[in-house]
Amino acid sequence: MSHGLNILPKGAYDLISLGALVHRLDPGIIPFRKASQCRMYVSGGEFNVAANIADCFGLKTGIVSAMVDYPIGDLIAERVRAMGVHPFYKHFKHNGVNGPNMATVYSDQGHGVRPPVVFYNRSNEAGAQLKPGDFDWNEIFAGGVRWFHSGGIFAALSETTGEVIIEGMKAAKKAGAVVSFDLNFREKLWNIWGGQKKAEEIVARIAENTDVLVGNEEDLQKGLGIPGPEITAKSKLDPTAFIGMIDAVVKKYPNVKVVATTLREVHSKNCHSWGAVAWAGGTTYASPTCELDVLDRVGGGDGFASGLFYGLLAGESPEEAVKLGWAHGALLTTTPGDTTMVTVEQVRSFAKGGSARIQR
Amino acid sequence: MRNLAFERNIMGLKIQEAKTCEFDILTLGECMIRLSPPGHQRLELTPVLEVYAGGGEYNVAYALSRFGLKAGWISRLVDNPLGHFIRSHARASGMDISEVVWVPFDGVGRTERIGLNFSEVGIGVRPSTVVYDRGHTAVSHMKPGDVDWKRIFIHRKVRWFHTGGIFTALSDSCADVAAEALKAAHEAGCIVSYDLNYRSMLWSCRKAASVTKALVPYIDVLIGNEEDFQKALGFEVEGTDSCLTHLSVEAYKKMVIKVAAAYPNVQVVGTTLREVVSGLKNNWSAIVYADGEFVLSKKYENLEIEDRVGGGDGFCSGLIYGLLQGMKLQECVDLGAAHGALAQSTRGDSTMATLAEVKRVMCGGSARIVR
Repeated sequence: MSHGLNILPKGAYDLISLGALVHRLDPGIIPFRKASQCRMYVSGGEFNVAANIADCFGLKTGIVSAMVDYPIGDLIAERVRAMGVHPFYKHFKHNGVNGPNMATVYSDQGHGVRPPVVFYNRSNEAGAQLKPGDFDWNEIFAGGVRWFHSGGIFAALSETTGEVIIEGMKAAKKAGAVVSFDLNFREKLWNIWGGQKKAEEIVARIAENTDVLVGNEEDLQKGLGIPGPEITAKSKLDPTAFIGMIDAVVKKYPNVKVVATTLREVHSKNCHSWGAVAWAGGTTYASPTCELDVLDRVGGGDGFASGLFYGLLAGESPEEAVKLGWAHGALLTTTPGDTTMVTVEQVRSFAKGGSARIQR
Repeated sequence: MRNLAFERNIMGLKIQEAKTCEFDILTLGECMIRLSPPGHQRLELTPVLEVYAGGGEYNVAYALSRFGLKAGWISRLVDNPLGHFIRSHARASGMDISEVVWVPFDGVGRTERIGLNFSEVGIGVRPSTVVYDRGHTAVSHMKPGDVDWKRIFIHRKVRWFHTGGIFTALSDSCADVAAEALKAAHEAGCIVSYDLNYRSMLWSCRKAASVTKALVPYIDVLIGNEEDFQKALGFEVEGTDSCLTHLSVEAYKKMVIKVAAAYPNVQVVGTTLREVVSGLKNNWSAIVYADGEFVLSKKYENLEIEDRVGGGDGFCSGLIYGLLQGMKLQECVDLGAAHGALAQSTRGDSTMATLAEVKRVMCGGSARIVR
């Protein structure tokens, strides 16, 4: 039942994440071309994991990121603090006209047969300017760190951000932390500067430093260059095809000890089937599956990763950790915004097979 | 007296060096959930309530944390979604809440609750009103020994401690906690400030005076208007009309001189001077006494107010900021008045202003659009 990870029993931080912070504008079900109002959420794939683990699961987390000193940056910094995440920022000064900026993500919610549409304004993004040497990793990790996390979105931002990830991962390893990476392959981001070739080259170097890899079949193929599955899955919830690719992953990267993904079949915008699976130390652990009535799908994958990492950090078995990740990801789709609004009690109860019956 | 490193000795205040202390400022008090109808709707008719968090002593920590000081707040919170709302709100300001005492929720609120207040924001001739629902609150059950003050003041170290008459009035045991904390802070060489904030709904004048008089010997900086000094400390002010439409600064000064004579340990006394022109228009300024002289702030005539709640705490936090930063008395008073004015320009009890905005307003910056 071992996952082969060597997790430190304690440290000043249970998890530190590295990635760009963004604000997401959400006009609800109205497409942007007709929108007159938006809600504003603070997000970032890598940040979401740190935020969920702090706010929902009560562990100590930090975020290493770029912060621009202007009102949008202040708003983001305030939400980061509210989630209980300790900031380690490189500060940038806004010139009042065109940056450097905190990136904007535009995402409407879609409805019924109309899917959600996501596009970005990441021009002159401060996060993309981060480069090796910007952070004093020894100081950040000085009090001890149990887990270090980053992801494929930050890796894709520029020529230098992937190098920051590798630098951070090496320092984290030295400090004794478990290192995880969520592949989160975003073709649009890579196409701006490096294309598929650069993506594979950089992600491969990152994977060489990774203990826990999160990503679906497409991420494994496009991000990691693993050949597509030989077996055709019966459905999107059937993990056979994904599991079929793991051998190739661990053969290429023997350092990888855990590979995990969510399994999502989208029937309509609000109606998804949801499952998760992890491979650890030669054994596959699958969660139960459930039908979701989705309120806001963004953040479900980060919700899974954070629950999984929490489970492992808390000393749960891989099987239980997958269930916690699956349950937290499912619950995260029931609230607006990209970060958690649920409690650890709710996650544990749903993981045990709790129902949506009213609690009085 | 232990060997303490003092950075400054201004206006009789010996303030410990910042680098030796974990906190610049620590406050003790309640934070309530505030529910307000949107705009100026009536409580009894509104279908919608907006949710805010606030409390006199809490607002001071909130503001000073936003201003970049190392601020902390101590209270007693229930581990339920209302307690979590306050936790998120507090964390967003950057304040330290590691010394907050958490109590389990019984599922009903029979024993331990988070206090609520329903606040209606007045307009024209209709004043703002507050309806409290703050019985059986967790914070009112705070008792001596709940917080290890010695560890906090001697080991973590605190430059400035602040609490006030709202916390003290919550219960007999809270009054005991206030006394315990003030004494420990004073003995550890920490500056102690106290906002009298007399609330007639919470206690009688007689009770307030008997409790508060025993606290004053530990206080360095005392905040209160003429009504506070009358009702919480038994001082007389001549020539104030009961509607507070016109204030006599001279009468206030005479009273403060009596206060200073009665309590020589009190180094600084200050208050805001609010004249109510209408619900949303007040004349606003502040006055502070220190080193035997009175200093008046810049006066804001016909200040347009969005929400008056939190104005006094805005003054108090601005004044404390100035004193901690070693500013001249005139600057401290101006900073307090400017911050109080800005705090009333937004809805909710806690400030939304930045230090840069406060400094701009105190220097006479106009409301012309910033581009």
